[in-house]
Amino acid sequence: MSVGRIYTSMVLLVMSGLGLMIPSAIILGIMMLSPYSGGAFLIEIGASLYIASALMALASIPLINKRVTEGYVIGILSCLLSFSTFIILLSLMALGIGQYEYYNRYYQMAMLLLAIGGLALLPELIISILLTTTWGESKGYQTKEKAMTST
Amino acid sequence: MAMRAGVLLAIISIGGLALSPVLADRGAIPIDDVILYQESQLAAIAWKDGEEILMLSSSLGVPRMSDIAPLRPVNFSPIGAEVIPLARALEIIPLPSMPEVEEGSIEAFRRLSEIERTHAERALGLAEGLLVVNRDVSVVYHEIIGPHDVTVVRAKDADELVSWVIGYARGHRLPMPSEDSIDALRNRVVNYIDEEYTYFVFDFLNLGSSMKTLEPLIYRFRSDAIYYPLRISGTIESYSKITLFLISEDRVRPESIEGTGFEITYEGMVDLSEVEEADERLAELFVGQERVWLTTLVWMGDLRSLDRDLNITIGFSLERIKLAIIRATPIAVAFALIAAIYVRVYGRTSR
Repeated sequence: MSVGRIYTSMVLLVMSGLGLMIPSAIILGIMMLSPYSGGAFLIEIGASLYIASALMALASIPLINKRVTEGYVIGILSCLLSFSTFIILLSLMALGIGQYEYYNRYYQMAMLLLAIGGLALLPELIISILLTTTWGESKGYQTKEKAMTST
Repeated sequence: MAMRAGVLLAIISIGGLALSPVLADRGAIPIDDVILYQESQLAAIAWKDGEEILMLSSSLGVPRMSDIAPLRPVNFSPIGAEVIPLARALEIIPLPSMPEVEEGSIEAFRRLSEIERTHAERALGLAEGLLVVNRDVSVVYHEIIGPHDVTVVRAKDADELVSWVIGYARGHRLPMPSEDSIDALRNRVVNYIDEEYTYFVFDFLNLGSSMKTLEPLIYRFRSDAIYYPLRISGTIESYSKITLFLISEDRVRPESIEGTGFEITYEGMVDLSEVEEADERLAELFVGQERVWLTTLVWMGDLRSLDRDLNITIGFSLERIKLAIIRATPIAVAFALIAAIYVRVYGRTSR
């Protein structure tokens, strides 16, 4: 049962990692290539944070597969980072902070960032639950492995 | 002096105090009893080694009197069928040094805009009235250029300059500008003169009764930075849009426009030949170079909020590096964290 939960969390981590990484990388790439994008500074930071979160999610998969505790830590951190980025972007948008910078050409990018962050919320929640519920088993697995290597 | 003030007051009371003081952008005082408003302003600026070529045009109009409500911000539509017999204005632009003035072409803005659009797409897929000449005000140039009646005046005292304006109106048999307009002009001019901006270009316009985008004038003068006067129009009660096309040999430093409200909407290198196609005078400063930087700055808002002039510098900017660093920080931190964890985990398992 726990193996199933771990594999489910790994699949969801791949999905949310790629789902966040691809659009955010495209947005950041466009911003960097565009002649001047200083006005859309907040969008760049948002995209950059999503990429960081996606990198952590993807990097955690091999470690979770090995039942290494650090893998669980990065996986959960990735979910928290992505979630907080979404909340920050949503708050900025709702409060109208930086909306002057978003106007016209970058508006769609800001919306896309919000959309992908919002879509990733459910997988992130499931991942967090799955990882926290299997955390104890990973500790046991590691202790067992340690004991085996010492003998 | 007291008598003059009395006469002015009488004129004002006849003219109607409901009308707000008016300064169209780049500074203008209405000669006739009308309110001017400015829809937009377009400028192309080429700058190199302290020499600036400024091509400037504005769209001035006169709103219908029926649109004017007291205490309401001026935000009208351009004129309709209502006939306003005379709507004349005197535009003013303060400059740091003696300019040469010649006629420009409105076509240049269309071309520059086209260049910007093309490149952005590629990247993305952005005086006759010399009646008053005294010791503090001297007319140094006067010429009629197309629809413009241009007079360049050198002034060392704001009151004398205002006297010159009154004398100019009298000399042209024009009605006196309102006292509010005169006061607004005096307040603006004092600061410029204190900062040793002593050259003032006056452009007498007859706007008739319709919205007009005026053929631009080209001013060539010396300036330590890319200079564009804004304060002169700081008391206008109108929303407007200002678009500036800057042509320079290096990138604009973002810190030099910080706090001005202008936004860089395009920045990129373009071929000098393209600028030449727009207007060869704008390319004159860059002879020998193949490519130049084209930067588009846009400002939108209430002209009253303009409280400082643009003095834009070019060259290396820490601001750009700062942006790149901040942009890359989350990704770099994530990589570092992942690397540290992998080293720790695999280091432990290899032991």
